[in-house]
Amino acid sequence: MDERSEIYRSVILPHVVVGKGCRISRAIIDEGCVVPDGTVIGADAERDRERFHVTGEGVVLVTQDMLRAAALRPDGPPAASGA
Amino acid sequence: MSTYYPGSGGRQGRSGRVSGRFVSQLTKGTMALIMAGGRGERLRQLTANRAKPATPFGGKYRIIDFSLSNCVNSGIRQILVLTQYKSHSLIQHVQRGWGYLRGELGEFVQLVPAQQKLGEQWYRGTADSVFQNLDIIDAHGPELVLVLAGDHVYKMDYGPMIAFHVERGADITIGMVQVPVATAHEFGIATVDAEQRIVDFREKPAKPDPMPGRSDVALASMGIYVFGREYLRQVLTADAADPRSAHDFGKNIIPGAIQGSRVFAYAFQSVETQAQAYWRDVGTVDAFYTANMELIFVSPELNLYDSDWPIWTYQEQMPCAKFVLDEEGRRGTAINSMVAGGCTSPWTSVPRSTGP
Repeated sequence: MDERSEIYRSVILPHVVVGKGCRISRAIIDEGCVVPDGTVIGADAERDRERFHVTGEGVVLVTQDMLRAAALRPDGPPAASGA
Repeated sequence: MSTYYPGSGGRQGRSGRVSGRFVSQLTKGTMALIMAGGRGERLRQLTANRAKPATPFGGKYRIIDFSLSNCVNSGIRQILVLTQYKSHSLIQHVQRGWGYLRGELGEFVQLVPAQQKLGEQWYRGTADSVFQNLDIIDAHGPELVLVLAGDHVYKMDYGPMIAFHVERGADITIGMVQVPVATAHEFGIATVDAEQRIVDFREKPAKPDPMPGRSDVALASMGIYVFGREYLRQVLTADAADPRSAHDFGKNIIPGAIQGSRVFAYAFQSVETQAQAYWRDVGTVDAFYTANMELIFVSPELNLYDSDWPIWTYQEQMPCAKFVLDEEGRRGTAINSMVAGGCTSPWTSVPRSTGP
């Protein structure tokens, strides 16, 4: 976990790297995920739903495949902070 | 006879109180089969590349560690793990973490992938996965066979359930938990008589019967069973030849056995309080999340700090977690969190989380 990142009420599986300045809440981050700098997860359900899986109770599931697909989107990597 | 039940706080090993728990000839003569082949589709992308029993849980475990640890702690040390779908990480975990039982003493954890031994088909259902391996069971010749699910989180001494099976002269004993009637339609529900003998069993019933003496809860199958080996052979052989069967324990074997056989319900509960013991089928993403987050309570229902009932796992050798930098705004902190080995936290705050 890198500097200035904040993780709230989340389940982080093994071998996860969280970049700088991330804000993650109510999420499950799957094994081996590399969460890019500035990623915000769990603040905007609409944006989360575009890239990740959001459960009926609002928990965000993030996997490696989803992060890879998100990085290839024309509007760039997931929800940079301040976006 | 007092018996130690994990989670009941019954044994005070280090304070000198004597435990009544013992490893009996019954548990020694029992072989466990852990079914770890299901697709686990309700866990969504968490099981995109792995079987549900291989899903990490509680920071350093994988879900199958609970059933495996329960076996070893109960004195059952002949264990087959039946795998099928997406089994790579499961096989890797069991090989790395569970290879220490001694073959010379007749103790083992063996992985049994579906092998098409009996024809073109893979495992067609839970009962078929056992049927296709009757030869392995016979080769070891256990008196009793304990069929377990590899995807549940709980701490259970199987000894009392096996003793109950023998005492009742049962053909099948099913481990049961109490569930609220409102959610009972998601489970296999039993109706029992005063002797705990099952008189009716329905998989996912629309109108579940409450248990005797209670209107609010029903008895739900945990999907774990004790069988005598010979009886198991008979019912599985008959089922395999039935073209209408889905070859599933809950859907076919159990309902088909109620009339002609002695099928009993064993309630998995605290001996002292009769309260339902901790048991979770972390079958959905929300259930998985909740079960993990419960572990950061001050005194979680699932006590992982119980040295009398350790949960064993494979762990990579990693240094301890460290929290560095002590300046305002840069401090690495973790509140209401579990932090596993290998983590470093500079400038990061981690309130209420679990994970390595």
